[in-house]
Amino acid sequence: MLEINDVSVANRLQQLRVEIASGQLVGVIGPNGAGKSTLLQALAGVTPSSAGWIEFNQTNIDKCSAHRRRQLLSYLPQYSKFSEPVTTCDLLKLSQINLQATPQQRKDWRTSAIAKFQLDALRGRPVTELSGGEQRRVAIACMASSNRPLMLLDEPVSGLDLYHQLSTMDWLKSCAQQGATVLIAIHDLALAAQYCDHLLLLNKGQQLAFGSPSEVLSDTNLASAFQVSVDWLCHAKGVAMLTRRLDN
Amino acid sequence: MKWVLAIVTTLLVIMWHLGSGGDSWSLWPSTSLDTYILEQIRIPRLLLATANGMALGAAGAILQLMLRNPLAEPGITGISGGAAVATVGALYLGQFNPIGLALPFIGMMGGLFALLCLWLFAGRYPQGIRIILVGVALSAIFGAFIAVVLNLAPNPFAFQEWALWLMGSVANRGWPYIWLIAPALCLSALIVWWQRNFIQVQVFDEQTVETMGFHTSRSKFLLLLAVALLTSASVVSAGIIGFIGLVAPHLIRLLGIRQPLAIVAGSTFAGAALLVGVDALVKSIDTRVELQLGVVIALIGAPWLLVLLLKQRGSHAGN
Repeated sequence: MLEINDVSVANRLQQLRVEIASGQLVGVIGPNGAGKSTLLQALAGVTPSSAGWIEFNQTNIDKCSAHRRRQLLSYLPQYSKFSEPVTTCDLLKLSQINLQATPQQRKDWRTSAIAKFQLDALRGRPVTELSGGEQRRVAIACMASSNRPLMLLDEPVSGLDLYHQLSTMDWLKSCAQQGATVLIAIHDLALAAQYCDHLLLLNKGQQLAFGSPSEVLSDTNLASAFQVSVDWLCHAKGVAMLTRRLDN
Repeated sequence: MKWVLAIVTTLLVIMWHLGSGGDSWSLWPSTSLDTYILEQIRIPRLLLATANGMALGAAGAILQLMLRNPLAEPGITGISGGAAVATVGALYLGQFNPIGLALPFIGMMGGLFALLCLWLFAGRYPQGIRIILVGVALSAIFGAFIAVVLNLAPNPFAFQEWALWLMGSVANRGWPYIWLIAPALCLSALIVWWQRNFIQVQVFDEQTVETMGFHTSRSKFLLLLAVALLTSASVVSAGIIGFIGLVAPHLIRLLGIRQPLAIVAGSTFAGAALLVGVDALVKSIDTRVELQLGVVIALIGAPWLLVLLLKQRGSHAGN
């Protein structure tokens, strides 16, 4: 269980209160500047919260030690960049530093991440020489190699081609089904509606709605937060949306 | 093969250094004068050049990794400026014997004071770019102070003496200066070993590193402390020597070393080989007054920097 209790971050996020059960994939949505990244940064301990507290499985994660937090969560920032041309294989090993896990577990997680994100051909290549989308896949694979119970991903599918967007979302869904709590900031509302168990809609640093996709993605909420109206095209295999600006 | 070539080149450079700057020499001297020259002049100079190269190479690599900036070098932190202004200022006030160890101690304190300023101005959660900006500002301030002190020099001889010292040299220093820089090297090596995992994760962006289980502020401060010790010890023992900290990590990257900790270790030895090589060159060039080491390194290092920038432009164009 992840409990966010009246958390505020300077002028960017105000008194957010949400409870998220384990095993859920939660999409954090909202327009630019709504506070999505700030919320994930506050949960990850990258940005200190100015008020409130955050508990994950009875541990106060904004007060616990950095080492303890490392065992609980993994975080993918919006812009992940690698500064030295280490190989993909070496990078996955480096991403497991400070984890409490046996060498065999680490190896299994790396092997599984390489398979899931189709990185076999990139194993020996320097990460700085990969394309933007490939680097993003490697960064997500680093998260997969950590295998933590709380996963925070800031726009994980941005920059990925359609196939890898879907495979990443499938993987996140399977992580949630295996018991992990997964929070993602996401702009693609169709993907969010299709995959997420719950959505948290933020606007101007405040919580506008929290609930199932059908509850949150109401005409009123979308008009209020995004100034758009949406026609949903629902199919058994997926969801698509037709959007138009309200001021047009 | 690259490694064999690097080791053989290093050994040749050492032999060149020991042999240059005199009419005759031998590793096994026959007369007491030759023994004295070898033990009190040639070997201390070689060791001081080695220690300075190690210090600057390691400091440069740590900074480039931690600041995620391939053009970072010890000079941009303001630490060498702090050590230099403290030393020149102490000489100006005339309170310290230029041969004694009080003066280098004052220089070290100047370097550590610069680190303190850097840390205070960089903020509670210092990001790489902020450290660079504060460092550049501090370097400018200390540079201005040095200019003022030189401007107020009591006589032309003092001015020339101080200006030459600032240009950097390892000539005629003797064993005491090696004992001065050795503890700084050892202490920094301990800090680097303690923080080896933090150095390794510097390939990731700063936000990711924040979530990887490190007390990041403390680790950054400790690594900057190691850089301050290495840089200050180098400045007080040999003056300001630029470019070694910049070039050594790139030389190691050219050898195909990519892991951050290996880059630090490799740069330590590459820095030593480079500095010993340039000092051997300085000893070999027959001029009326021996050229200052820092000047020759700048003459070689600055064009190298341009080559690196051209190469970087080429790789960007390729992308």
